[in-house]
Amino acid sequence: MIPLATAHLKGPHIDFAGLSPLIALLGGSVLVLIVGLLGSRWIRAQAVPSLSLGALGAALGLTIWQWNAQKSIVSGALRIDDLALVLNLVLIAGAACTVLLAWRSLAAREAAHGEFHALLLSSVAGMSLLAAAQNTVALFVGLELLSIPLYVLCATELKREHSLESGLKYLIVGSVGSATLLYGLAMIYGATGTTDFAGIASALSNGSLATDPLTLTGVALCVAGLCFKSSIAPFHQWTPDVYEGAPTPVTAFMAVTTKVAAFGVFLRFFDVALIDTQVSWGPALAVLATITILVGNVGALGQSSLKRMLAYSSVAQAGYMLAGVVVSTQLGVRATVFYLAAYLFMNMAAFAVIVARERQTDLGDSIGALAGLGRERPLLAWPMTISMLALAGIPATAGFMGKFYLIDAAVSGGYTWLGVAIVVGSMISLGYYLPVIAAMWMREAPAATSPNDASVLAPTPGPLPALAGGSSELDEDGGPLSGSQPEVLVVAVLAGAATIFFGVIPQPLFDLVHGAGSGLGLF
Amino acid sequence: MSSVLFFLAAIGVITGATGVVVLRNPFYSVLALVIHLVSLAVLFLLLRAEFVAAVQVVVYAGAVMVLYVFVVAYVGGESDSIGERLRSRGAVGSGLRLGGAILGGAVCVELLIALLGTGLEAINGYGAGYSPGPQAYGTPAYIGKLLLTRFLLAFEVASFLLLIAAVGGVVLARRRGGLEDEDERDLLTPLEMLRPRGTGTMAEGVGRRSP
Amino acid sequence: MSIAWYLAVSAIVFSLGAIGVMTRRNPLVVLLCLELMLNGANLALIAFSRMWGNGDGQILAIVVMTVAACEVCIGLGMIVAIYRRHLPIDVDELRELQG
Repeated sequence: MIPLATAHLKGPHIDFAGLSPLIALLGGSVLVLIVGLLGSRWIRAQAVPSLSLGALGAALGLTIWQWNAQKSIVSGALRIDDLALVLNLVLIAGAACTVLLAWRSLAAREAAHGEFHALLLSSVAGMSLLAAAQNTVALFVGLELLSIPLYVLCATELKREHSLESGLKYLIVGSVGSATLLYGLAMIYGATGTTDFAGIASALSNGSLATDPLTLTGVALCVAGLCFKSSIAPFHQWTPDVYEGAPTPVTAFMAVTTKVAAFGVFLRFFDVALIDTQVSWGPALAVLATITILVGNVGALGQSSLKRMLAYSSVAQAGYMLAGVVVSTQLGVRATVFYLAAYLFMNMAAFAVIVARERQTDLGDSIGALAGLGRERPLLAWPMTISMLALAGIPATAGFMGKFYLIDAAVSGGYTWLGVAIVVGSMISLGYYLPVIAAMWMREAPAATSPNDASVLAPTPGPLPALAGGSSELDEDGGPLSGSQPEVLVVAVLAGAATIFFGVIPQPLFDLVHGAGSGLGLF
Repeated sequence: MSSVLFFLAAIGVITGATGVVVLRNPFYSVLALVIHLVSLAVLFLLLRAEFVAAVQVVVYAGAVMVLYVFVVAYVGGESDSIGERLRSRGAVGSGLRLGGAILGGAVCVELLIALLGTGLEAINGYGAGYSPGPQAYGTPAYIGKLLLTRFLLAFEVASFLLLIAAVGGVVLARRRGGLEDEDERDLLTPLEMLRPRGTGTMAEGVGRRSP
Repeated sequence: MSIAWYLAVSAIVFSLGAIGVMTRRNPLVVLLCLELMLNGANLALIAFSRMWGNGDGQILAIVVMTVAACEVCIGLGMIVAIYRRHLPIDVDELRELQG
């Protein structure tokens, strides 16, 4: 018999203030799940998204309340500093846009609203955890809390086969990435004997451990695993298929927020724990970044599906952002975080327009759905134009400032050729961003864009599909709701305006990211 | 004694893993994985990870594998065609079989070089010192203490992860028709909260709303 | 046996899993191969944990088991959902046709 009372276990001190944004997100997730079970359809369709916006708002407020905190909480598992808090802000903004885009979406209805938003909020919580994690156990569990709800979200348009397939494909590729990362973490643990970032850093700083094959292979496997998650070439092949197959609001969420979380890990894990092996992974990541920029930009040329085009574009953007990680200086960290914020605005504007057009036309996400938009609906055409110009890096947009900052970081970090690669990549990217703008402003609108026509002219051979509910999705999407989708319009206009605003007056954003660079102990 | 046990278990682990990869019938693959998991639990025991070994047998070889067997029995041969469809649309690892095998072999060689070529001396030893006792390394008490102190956050988040996975499973696999009917396309008004169904309102009378 | 032997076994299991993911088509078997990869990593974690004599590796291994169970749950759910979509006669469709 073991006398149980002998073990006087004292729990760790839990700083609930530091943990509060995370608690708000997880609590919101559970609350939304319960409210989604209530009987009334009105509650399910309207109150659930409002509640999840409320939870995000609470998390936002609590994040701002914690501003300027510098502390490790829950026995060193998380680090609350400016980097984590800034990334939190970006994540919450991205998630709020997604909630708005998904408000009337088919995906949320098919998955049942409560479940959809609960999954969304828990995924955001995982990202927030990941951005703050400072031991490898918290890192891994955060990564999975991010990924597992996202696999389900990709598959939520259950009646559309591509959605389910994209979910399964994302699950398989994502799990391979997780397993690879895990083996890398195991090797680093084996080499250093600890899971704390600080412990790993101090173990690597003395002796020849930093060049030991065990450590280096571990780092390489970690890079490969994270590249799977942030779709960096040559681990990007899944990206176009999954982005195209997933419901568009979920694609927007994936494109923006998973990148934020993955780069949060890149910055913290590589620039804190593995900083002494920087001479090994720096050049390797720089080569990966160059390949990614080229592959992404060349792949996007000639895509007729907007979602596929934006998928390749997001691969290229990941390559640009990697440049800020490679140099591992304060300037690099700031440039990456700045670009992440700019990337949020640019992509959300584009995806909001795609969501709106998907509901107004029956052309889906093909580039033809935008034809003639400039004359017909300038409020949608302008955000898309701004977004495309910003993604290409035209001056007076946030994208230009971000790229400028990244190139500055690359050059001052001794990677001039990487800066050149960014410039060349941006020039190639004009080849696929400009046709989108041309389609909006110079092409005539196709005949059947108005929703009522669309449902009449849609290829319905005979009365059979109508009986089997074949055309019901069309009615649902294009019918009574297409005229009024103010929340999508709000996202498009706000994101477009923010892109311009931070392109002309970047100072507020500079100030915001300034602290993020100083917290990591780089010079 | 322990080396004999190690070799027996290691052979079981590797044979089981090979069986999963090469066997044609998914049902046999699942059974091979059970052999693999049980042998792996023996290796965990040899490494003095008693608690993890028990969890491995109870949770993995027990519960998770039962789930697999059910799904294999339900989906049956159909699952091959699902794989074909996935592959034709751009492919999960679209490479040829040979290419995949060669790449995997290269990964194996690289991992072995890294693991065995390390400069760490301890890797050729038998592990750190171990003294038996009620709270010794690897016992439930030891693991429980770590989970509730140093790794409290991971523990809590993992529990939330299980909840979310259950929700996800329900979303994916529940039968449609309960929540999402035709009449869900009606206009949604706040008033409907106040008007219970089947109370003979005018909307029901004209068939706008089914009782 | 020395720790190196256990690590060699873990590397072989991980690679076998990777080969399976790359070569097999059946999604059920691909999920099983993902389990193999995670198990390979788990064995490495436990072996290193024994080598250093601290429990961190064991905790991570337990977390990995939880995660693996979640992934299986979601993966099997998706396979069942895809399978149902392709049933020749779906019960729901039948009801819809009858009005």
